[in-house]
Amino acid sequence: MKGLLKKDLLLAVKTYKIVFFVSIVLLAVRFFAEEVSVTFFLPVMFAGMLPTSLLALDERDGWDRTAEMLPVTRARRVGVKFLVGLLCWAVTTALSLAAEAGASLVQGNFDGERLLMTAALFAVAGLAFPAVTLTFAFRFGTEKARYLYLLLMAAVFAAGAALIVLPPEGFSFPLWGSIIALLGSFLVYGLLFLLSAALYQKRELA
Amino acid sequence: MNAIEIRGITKRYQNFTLGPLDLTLPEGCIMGLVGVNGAGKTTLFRLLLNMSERDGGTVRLLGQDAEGNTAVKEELGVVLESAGFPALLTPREIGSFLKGCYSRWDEKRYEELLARFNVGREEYSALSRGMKMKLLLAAALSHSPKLLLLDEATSGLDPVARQDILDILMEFTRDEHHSVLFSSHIADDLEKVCDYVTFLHGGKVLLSEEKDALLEEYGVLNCREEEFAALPRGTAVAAQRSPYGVTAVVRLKGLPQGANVQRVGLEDLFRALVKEEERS
Repeated sequence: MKGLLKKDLLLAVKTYKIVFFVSIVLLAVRFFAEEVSVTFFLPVMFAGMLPTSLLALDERDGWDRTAEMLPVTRARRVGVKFLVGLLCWAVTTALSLAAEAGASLVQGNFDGERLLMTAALFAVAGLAFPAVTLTFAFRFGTEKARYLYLLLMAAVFAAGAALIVLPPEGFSFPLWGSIIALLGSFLVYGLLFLLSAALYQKRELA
Repeated sequence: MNAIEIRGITKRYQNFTLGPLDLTLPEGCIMGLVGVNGAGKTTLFRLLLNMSERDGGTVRLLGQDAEGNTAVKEELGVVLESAGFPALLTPREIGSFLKGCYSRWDEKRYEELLARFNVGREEYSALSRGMKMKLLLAAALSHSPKLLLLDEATSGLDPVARQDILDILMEFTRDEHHSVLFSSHIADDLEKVCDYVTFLHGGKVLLSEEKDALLEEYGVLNCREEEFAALPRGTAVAAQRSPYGVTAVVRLKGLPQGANVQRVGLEDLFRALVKEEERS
């Protein structure tokens, strides 16, 4: 598992170098904007896409077949992708929240509840929804999963951004709602890992 | 102990069925698997590695039940034609992560093999097909495997690269506990290195025998049409006629004394047996 994790991190650095750079720039932009804009959510969105992108590379390079020669179960291989997703999400979320907290403190409009709500949205968009795509990819291949991901992301960001940037008159997202969304996302992530492992076990590799 | 024991293995697809198939590879031997495209060679490898779920039968690798057995893969070195390493990683990076996958990974041996094969330092995608195969083979040999499974490992390679790989296989089986199952379209390669030969056709084993016994059992007969017609029934496997006479692959047993018989090559024998099978 250590070896496969190293392989995915090496590939992530090689393929996502430019994305990491763009993400840092996008987060830095937050300090110069008065309000959160949609671009602020892009780094987490990129992080969410990473495990499926890595799986797509595996399929393209024939690595998914080569990995069958290793003394590593398919469940572990699935686990590595979920772990990479979790690590990337954690780093991106930590940086994004730090940027948001820093910027709002500098601008004198820090709001803890809003920060928690942002974290919850990050969990839904960067963990739970990408995990649905990843599960789909482990079952049907990444080509089909890509379309599902785009649809899901469009839906979640349209809803999320509308809530944060343009909240309806008098609307206030409850604190408990953010906590449930946050914890629920972790639960969904865990359950989808188990489902992916079971589905991948049955999959015939071409 | 047998390195591979396959009993009644079956896999059904919509337009193709492999098996039921029995195969035994004794420890310390090289078995060549010959077959036309679609004969079932790759399917057989996939079943050995649990890449596909089989519909019946059992597989034992190195004395262990292979089904769902990940631990036995520590003892296997595998090179599949369709497999590859991540395109963006260099051979050194590939070695560094494989080290974390095998408990007996030998970094020094891997480096030695890369140097011996002249595998460059470029990313995997920049390597030639021959170099990619050599890199796969270096990786397959660097964790002290006892059984090598090679699916078309020499196809598409130039003669020098093919000979390098064959030399490695010969070296590998100098240890009496090491065995190889090696599929190839190139019967000449198999003839050079194999102890046993298995002909697969249409998902069935046409023949599986010791190579030397096989080459003693069959030969190529050059004769006139009348002499050919006088051969005992069942002696000729396949024949080709020309204005100069008949060239036939024959079973040597029952052949008249003094017949003009030459040694048969595996490729000719395979073609003849396929023709005989298709006739029947």
